[in-house]
Amino acid sequence: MSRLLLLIVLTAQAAWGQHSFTVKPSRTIVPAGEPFEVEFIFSGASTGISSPRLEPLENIEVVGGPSSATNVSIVNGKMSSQASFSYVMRGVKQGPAKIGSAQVVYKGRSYATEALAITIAAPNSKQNSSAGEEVFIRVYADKTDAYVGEQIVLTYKLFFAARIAPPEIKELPQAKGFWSEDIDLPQQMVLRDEVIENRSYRSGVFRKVALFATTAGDLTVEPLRATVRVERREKRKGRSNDPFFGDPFFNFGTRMDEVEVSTRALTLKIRPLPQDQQPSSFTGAVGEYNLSAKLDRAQCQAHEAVTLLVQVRGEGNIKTLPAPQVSVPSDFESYDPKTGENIKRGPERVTGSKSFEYVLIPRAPGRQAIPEVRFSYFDPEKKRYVEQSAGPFVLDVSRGDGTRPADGAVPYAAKRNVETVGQDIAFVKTEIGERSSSASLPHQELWFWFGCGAPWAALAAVVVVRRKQETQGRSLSGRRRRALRRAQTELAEAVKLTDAGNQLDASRHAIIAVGHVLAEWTGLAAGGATTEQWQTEWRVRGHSESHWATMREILESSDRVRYAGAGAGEELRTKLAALKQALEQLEAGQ
Amino acid sequence: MRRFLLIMSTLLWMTVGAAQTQNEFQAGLAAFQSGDWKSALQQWEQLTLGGESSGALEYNIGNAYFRLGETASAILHYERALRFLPTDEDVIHNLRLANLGTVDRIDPTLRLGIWEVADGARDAHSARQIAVSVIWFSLIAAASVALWLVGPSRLRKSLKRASVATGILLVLLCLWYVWRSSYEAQTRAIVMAEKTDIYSGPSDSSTQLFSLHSGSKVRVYETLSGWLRVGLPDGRDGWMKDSDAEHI
Repeated sequence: MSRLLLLIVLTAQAAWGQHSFTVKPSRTIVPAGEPFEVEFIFSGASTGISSPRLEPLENIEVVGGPSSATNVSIVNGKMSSQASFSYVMRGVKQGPAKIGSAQVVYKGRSYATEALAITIAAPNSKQNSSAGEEVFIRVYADKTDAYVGEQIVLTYKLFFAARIAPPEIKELPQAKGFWSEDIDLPQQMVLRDEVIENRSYRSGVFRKVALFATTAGDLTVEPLRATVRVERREKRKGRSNDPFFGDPFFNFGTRMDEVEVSTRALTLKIRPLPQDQQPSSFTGAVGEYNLSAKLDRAQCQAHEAVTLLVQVRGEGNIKTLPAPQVSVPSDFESYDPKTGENIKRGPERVTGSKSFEYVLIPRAPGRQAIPEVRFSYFDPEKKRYVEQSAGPFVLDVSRGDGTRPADGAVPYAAKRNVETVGQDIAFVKTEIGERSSSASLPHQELWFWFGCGAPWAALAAVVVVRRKQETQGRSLSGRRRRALRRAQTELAEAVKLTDAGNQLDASRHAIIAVGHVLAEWTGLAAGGATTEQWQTEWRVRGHSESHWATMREILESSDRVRYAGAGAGEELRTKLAALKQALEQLEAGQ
Repeated sequence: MRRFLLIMSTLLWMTVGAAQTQNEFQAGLAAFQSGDWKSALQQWEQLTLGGESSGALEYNIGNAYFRLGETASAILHYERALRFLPTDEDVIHNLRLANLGTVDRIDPTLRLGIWEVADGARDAHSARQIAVSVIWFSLIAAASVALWLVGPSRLRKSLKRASVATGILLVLLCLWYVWRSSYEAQTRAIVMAEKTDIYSGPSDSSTQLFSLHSGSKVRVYETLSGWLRVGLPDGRDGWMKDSDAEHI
C-alpha cells in the first residue's frame, strides 16, 4: 500500500516538475582529432523520452554514442530525475564548429537544446609517433612553466588497443635538478576509453610523480622506458578461418610479445623566485601553507620543560620544508626541534603537514614572552610571498622548588659562556666628518708649507728686530736704563728747585740722582756706602774717571749747600749741568 | 663695501653647500636604515663626485656595497676609508669581514715581529693628521725659541731646554710624516673583475703567471698603456689589465 502511495507521489512530482533539455560538452575548445564528450540532459523525467535527434553537425563528427543514462535522486524529500544521452564527438579540422539544436519528444511535446559553438584547435603534435601502435605510453605535465620549488605533477599514461599485461618499468626517468615524490595510485589501474588519432584505445595512469625543481633554468626529464607484454595472434596456416581455433575466446592462437615503449623527454621551464619583496623569514618554502603554533601550557615552574608545537600544513614539498623562524629568548634553554611529517601523496598532488616540536626550559622565573613564530612561503599561483605568524606566547614561570637550597646557601647557577650567535658588519657612520680631497697628500698642498713656515718666519722677524734694537742701545741692560731714567727725573726736579731758589731741596734731589747711578753701576746700596767706598768700587769696575769726578762734585757741593746755606746757587747750577751731560754719556754707553 | 659683500656671499655659498651636503648624507642614511641599499649608495656616491670625500662617507658606501653583495666594491671603499681613518675600529672590522668573502688567499712573506709593530706605529695616524701635528709643533717650537732669545734672563735656561725638546719632537714628527706619506703615496688597487690573469709582460701574448680573483689587493708599481705592473704581499709580481682593477 505504501509502495503504491510512493509511486503516486513520484509520478505526481515528475508531472509537476519543470522539464528542460540542455546540452553540456566536456570541452568547448578541442584539438582536431581529439574526442570529447557531449551530453544532452533532459531533466524532469527519466523514462519515456525519445532518443535525441541531432541537427546536422558542422566540422564535427560523431565517433560514438549515444549512450543513455538515467538518474533519479531524492534530496531533502525533493525528487529530481533526469535522463542523459552522451555522444563522443571529434573535431574534423581546425576552425569553428557547431553542434546544432537537438530535439527530444516527451509526452507528445518536443524540447530542443540551443545550438552550441565549439572551437576546434590545431591538432596536438605527435608524441613519439607512437600513436597507431598497439601500445604506447605518454607523459603529461600539469604545467611546463613553473617556479623553483613549485609542484609539477607528471602523469604517465598507458594506451593500448590489445590485450596486455601490466607494464614493467625498465628505466625510471632521470630528473636532474628535481626533488621527486611518487604519488600513490590505486592498486587497480583505472581504465577508460580514449580516441587517439582516429583509433580508440583503453588508457590508464600507471605512474604519477610530483617534481619540485631545485634550480632555475630549462630542466629536462629524461624518457621513461618500460616493457609491456602484448598478446598477439599466432598466424597459423589454414586455420585462420577456423571457426573454433580462430575464436579469441580460446587462447590457443595467441602468444605474448614483449614490446618496449618509452615517453619523450620533457623540458620544463623553471623560473627563479622573485628577489624583491622577499620577507626576511623566507627560507625557501614554495606552495601554499598554513602555520599554526601553540604552547602546551601557559604556566609552569622554572626548570620545567614546556613544548612549543609549530605545525605547517599545506600543499608543496613537505619533506624539505624548512623550520619556521622561532627566536627563543636567552632565558630559555632550548634544543633542536623534533620534526615529524605526515605526507599525503595523492590522489592528485602532494599535500601534508610537518610539525616542529621545540622543548623549552625556562631558567628564570617571571612572565616570559616567546616572540611570534614566523613562516613565509612563495605562492606560485598568486606569484607573491605570503608571511604568516603565530603567537607571541606568554608563559608565567613561577619559582620552582628546586631553585633555592633549603639551608639558605647561595643558589648555584651554572655559568655559561656568552656565545656569539651572529656576525655582521658594523653600522654606517652617522656623521659625514671633514671632507677633503683624497687624491693629494698634505705636502703637495700649499697650506701645509704655509703652516710649517709661518712660525719660523715670525721667529726670524723677531730676531732681526731684536738685533736692530741692540745695535742702538748697546750694552745697557734694562736695570741700568731704568736707573738712569730715575736719575734723570731727580735731576730735572733739582734743576727746577734751583731755579726757584730752593737750593737745599735741589741738592737733596741731585744726591738721590747720583745715588741711583752709583748704586746700579757699583752694586753698593745707595744708603749704606761712603764716598770712599763708591770711589774704590767705581774704579775697580773700570768706569770713567771724569764721570766719577762730576758725581763727587755733586756729593760735595750739596754738603756745602747744606752747611753754608744759600749763595751757592750759581755753582750748583753748573754742577747739575755737568751731571746732566754725564748721565747722557752713560746712557750712550760711554 | 663691495669687498664685504663679496666675502659675505662667498661665506653664504659655502654654508649652503655644506647644508646641502649634510642633507644628501642624511638622506642616504635614512635610505640605508630602511634597507634601500641602492638609493643610499646613489646618494653617497654623488657626494664623492667632486673628488672630495671623507672617511665616514667611503665607509658608508662600502657598507652599502656589502649589503648589495658586491664584496670587491665594498673592500675598495673600506680601503679608501682607511686612508682617512687608519685606526677606525669599525672600518677595520668591516674590511676584515669583507675580506672573508674573497677567493684568493695570499700569505705574506715572513717578517720579523718588530716590523709589524713599526707598521702599527706608522698606521696610527693618517698623513693628514700628522701634517696638522707638524704644523702645531712648528708653532710651539718657534715660540719657545723666540722666548729663549728675548725672554727674561732667569727663565732662559728652562726655555732653552724646552726649545731643544720641542725641536727634537718636531724632527721626529717630520720623519713620521715622511714615512707615512710615502706609504700613502704608494698606489694600491683592488681587483674588480671576477677573475683576472697576471702575465709576465704587458700583453696578452706573454706567459700567464697566475690568476687573481675579485677583492684581492695589489700594489701598483707602474702603468703602461692600459696595463699595470702589480705586486702581491708574497713577493710575486706581474702585469694585469688596468680595466680589471680599481685604484684605492
